[in-house]
Amino acid sequence: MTERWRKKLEGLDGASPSDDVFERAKQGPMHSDEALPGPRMSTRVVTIVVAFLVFALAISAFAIPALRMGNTSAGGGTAVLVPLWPTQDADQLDQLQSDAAVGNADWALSPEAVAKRFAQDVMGWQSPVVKPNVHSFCAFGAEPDSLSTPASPVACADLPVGGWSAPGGVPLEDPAAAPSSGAGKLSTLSYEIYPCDTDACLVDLGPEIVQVYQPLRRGDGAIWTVLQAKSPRITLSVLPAQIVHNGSTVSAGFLTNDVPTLAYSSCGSAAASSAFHAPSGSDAKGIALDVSLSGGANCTDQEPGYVWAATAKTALGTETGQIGADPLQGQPPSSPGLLGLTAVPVTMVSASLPAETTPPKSPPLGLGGSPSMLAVAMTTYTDPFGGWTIDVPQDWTTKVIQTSGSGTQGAQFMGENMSIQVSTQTAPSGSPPPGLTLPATDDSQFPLVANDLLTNVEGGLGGTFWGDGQTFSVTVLSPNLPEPLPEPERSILMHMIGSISFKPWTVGEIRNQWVAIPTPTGDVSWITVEGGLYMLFKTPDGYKLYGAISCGGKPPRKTSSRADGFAVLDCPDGTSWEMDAGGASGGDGSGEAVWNDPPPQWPVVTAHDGTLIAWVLPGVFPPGTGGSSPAPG
Amino acid sequence: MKSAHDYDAIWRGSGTTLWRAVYAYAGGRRDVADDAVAEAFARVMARGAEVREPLPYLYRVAFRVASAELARSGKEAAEMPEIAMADPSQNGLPDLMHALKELTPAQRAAIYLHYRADMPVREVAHLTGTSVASVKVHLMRGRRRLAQLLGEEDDG
Repeated sequence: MTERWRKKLEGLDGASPSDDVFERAKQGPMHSDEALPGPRMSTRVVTIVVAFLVFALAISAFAIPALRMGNTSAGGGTAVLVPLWPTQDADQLDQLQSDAAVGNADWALSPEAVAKRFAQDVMGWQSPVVKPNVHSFCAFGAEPDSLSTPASPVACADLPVGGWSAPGGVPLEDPAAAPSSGAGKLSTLSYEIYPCDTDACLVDLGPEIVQVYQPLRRGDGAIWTVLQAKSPRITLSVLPAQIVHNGSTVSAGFLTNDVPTLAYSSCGSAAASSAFHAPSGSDAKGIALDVSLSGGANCTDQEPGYVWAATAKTALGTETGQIGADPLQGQPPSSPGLLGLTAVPVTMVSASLPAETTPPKSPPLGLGGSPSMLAVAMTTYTDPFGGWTIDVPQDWTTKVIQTSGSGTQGAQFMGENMSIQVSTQTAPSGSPPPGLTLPATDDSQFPLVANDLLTNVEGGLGGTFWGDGQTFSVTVLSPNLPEPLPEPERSILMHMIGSISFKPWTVGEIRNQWVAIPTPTGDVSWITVEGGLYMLFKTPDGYKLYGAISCGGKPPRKTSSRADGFAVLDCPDGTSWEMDAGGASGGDGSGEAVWNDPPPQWPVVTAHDGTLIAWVLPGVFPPGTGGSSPAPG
Repeated sequence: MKSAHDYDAIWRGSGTTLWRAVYAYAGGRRDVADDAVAEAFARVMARGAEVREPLPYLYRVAFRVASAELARSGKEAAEMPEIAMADPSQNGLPDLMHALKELTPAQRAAIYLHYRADMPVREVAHLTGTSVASVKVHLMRGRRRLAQLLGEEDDG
């Protein structure tokens, strides 16, 4: 009852500030900016890591399916890397370089000044703060070579210099001038930008990140431009320089209570959408937007463009689907400006995706009836990364698939008239596997049945199953598809799919960052996972795992559970704390125990053999949670 | 620096509410509330037009100054603070302050701003620089703990 508490707190109205408070304020600050406590760097880094995890878990419910809505990079076209900002026009870039050379655009010669100007002109922040960022990211999804030198350009692997000189793009004029740290690679710098000083700008999920590079040539005297911007609250389905075809779909996922907008622009064609939907059971919001390129008289078949997703206090798209105000054209919303922006330059291709790449709406599957007797000699392939196995015809060839960092792992099995690929998406260490959501999905039932698993997809058959907590994709290609597969391919396929199996788990075993945990005997359990103390609740909706829990980083005096469903923690300093499966929690006083509020939740699934497996990030304790923060605030 | 806001008006309109929120946050430490609010106003006036939304800035800086002072002095768990009030016997404030001291500072601030200053949860979150969900959690836990300490039922 609000009124009851309001009445009870009435007594506080008897307390009033001293008479001289405002007069003292007029004398000026007593403390320097530095004297005020801001978020500790270590705390902020942990916050960013955890925020990323939570965001990724939430957003994958939308973003991963959205990525499947349209393959924006398939088909023809040549990827062209152009800047995102301040211009994508080659002549204007040359002009900017000329202006900078004679002192008329000094800011363009400083990467930090470019980031700051981007914050002002695009984000609409009047007094931004810019800091070097150690969490760099690269174009084309490549991995940075180094994350340890925030003040130096970060070399991104596998990015050939000069490889994007297609019409409409901006060629790198002097590839030989690449810095010694990354010859032949694209070097970038990343900055964190804040709308104001960080004392007052408390950042929940991490700052906006702006990545800059030198598009014309390397070294002193060459201009810097923005390659991409990334908000920790917004994810896009396209990467820098990715080809986006006319008729394809771009999408974005948002974690925000503000108004999201997704838009694209290229050579006079532009559209925006501020409509969004939230998948059930998730706080994430998503927008999908069909790309329609009108191809004006002055536009070629392939033009530079950009895709952006932003959050603001008001919608940036109009009711008719147009961009109301394009921040990348210097039209940010009025105060407080943009609240988040993820934007990338792309290559827009006016040709539609080839018709044959559009999946049919319904079967035929190409599979039917029961398999005939299989008269093909088989051998067993064991995946070197995940340990899963599959039977493969002896005369087939096998190609192991592995990309570093966040990429694909698995294998492709190729026969004369059919190939089958089984793969899973991996994430860098410390990041959640793609597709992992809360609540997470239990492993599939094995053996798999090809008729149930596979449906028609672009150029073949495809399906998804879960094993060892991870999602796996199966792709079948054959010149016979989508017509029914002839024998013996049909029987081989059904046998191979049915032979996929995973190793049994042992409690404590770790695979792909999943760890096997004991099956609890009661509804409330305290368990140890990778050295941390966690609470495991058994509920009608599945298992819920919270933690790690501690007493200010120290072991508890006692852990227990109550009949009313609460897990109870008693700390050495005499304080106690409790929590139930629904997240209701509380503690007494301000001692060690209450620093656990609120602990993060981690996914728990039932693996293929019935073992419970959990995905946790050991050692991660967000500020004020998990017991590692020495003091709140 | 040119003044962008009418700070006298902000002080008259919101200064006391801010001060009481910090006072609750600081567990009844008048000196901490005075210093933190004075410092926050001093800083917002010094920054002038750089600060577009003075009120959230004031709250966040004031809470940070108070937090730093509480951490520095370590006196939060010490003796009962001096309480400025006309007639303690009429409103039960000593009991309430004893109980409030058992809450975390964030819980105290959230409870005061929401239940006494009549601010919606969203506004409390905006002013204190945290999320709506966090404020709700602070309110729920703080209310439950207060009810327990005051020997009452927490009926929401």
